[in-house]
Amino acid sequence: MPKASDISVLVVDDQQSMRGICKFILNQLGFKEITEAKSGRDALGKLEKTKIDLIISDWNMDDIDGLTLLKVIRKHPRTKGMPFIMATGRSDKEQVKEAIVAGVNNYIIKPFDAGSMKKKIEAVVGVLA
Amino acid sequence: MSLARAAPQGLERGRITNVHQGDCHVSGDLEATLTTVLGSCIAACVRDRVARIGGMNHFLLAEQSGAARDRYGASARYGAFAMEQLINKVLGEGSGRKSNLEIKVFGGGNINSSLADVGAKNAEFVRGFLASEGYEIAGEDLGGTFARRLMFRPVQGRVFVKRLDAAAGKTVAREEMAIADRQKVEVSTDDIELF
Repeated sequence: MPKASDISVLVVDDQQSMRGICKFILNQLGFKEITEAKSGRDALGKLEKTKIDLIISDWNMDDIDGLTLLKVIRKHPRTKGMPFIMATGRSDKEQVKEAIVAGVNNYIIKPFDAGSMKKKIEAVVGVLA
Repeated sequence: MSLARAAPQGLERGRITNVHQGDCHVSGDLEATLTTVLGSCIAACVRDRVARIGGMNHFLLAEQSGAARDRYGASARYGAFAMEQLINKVLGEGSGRKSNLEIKVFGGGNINSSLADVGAKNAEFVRGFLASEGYEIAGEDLGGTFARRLMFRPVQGRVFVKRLDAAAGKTVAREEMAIADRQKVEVSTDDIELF
């Protein structure tokens, strides 16, 4: 049973307040190692340097959006199996399909709270201790 | 008086869309006017100057969320999502460049003594949100002790604000709180289970 405190999470969002909200909720769930990236490009840089176990990324971002980031991650041998949750306001089924095809592990619609976030994370990494 | 008769010249024609509490509308229609009535609520008017497209949201943080300990509380999260939704919609349908955005904010009136400083907290929230995201406020009419009728031409960027009298203000405040109680920070439940 994985422990939240042992899982290193990368939160990717171009809006500072959204990263803050996500971090706040992750802290509530017991996550301690949280790295922030303010864009898709920044996320790729952080993945080079930091040990990451789970990515929670926004869809809409200025430079590299969440979907493109996911595709890049799935192509790279070192990161291709990395759990990836897309956090977005979009609930369009076509877009969800696009994310599934690209290999997203799960999908969370904003606004979310600690309960829904926990459910999504557990669906990806297993029930937390 | 009808809305059309109360409006300044140029706003009374074309397509008028009411932006209700909880709504977010974006339009690139030259003839569009987005309108709403605000008591303690906030409406942000976001326009892409280059793409000539704009939109308006309308939200109320009914719970107190100004304190640092509650910076990411349920109410503030709702406000942040409302702002993000509008900004992303305008960026998505516009040029996609944040530097092209022009943002004006309205509302946050303290029009009912029983509502304490809900209006001021809402105004504080929206100013804080925009500052933390690095956006300048191009125009604002926040606070005061009155309700407002707001009309926004999303393509032209023109905003008309009419301050309402005390009686109208009290009615608006009551309606806003009733709606806020019904909408109370609903967590999205329409998401899709993939696995």
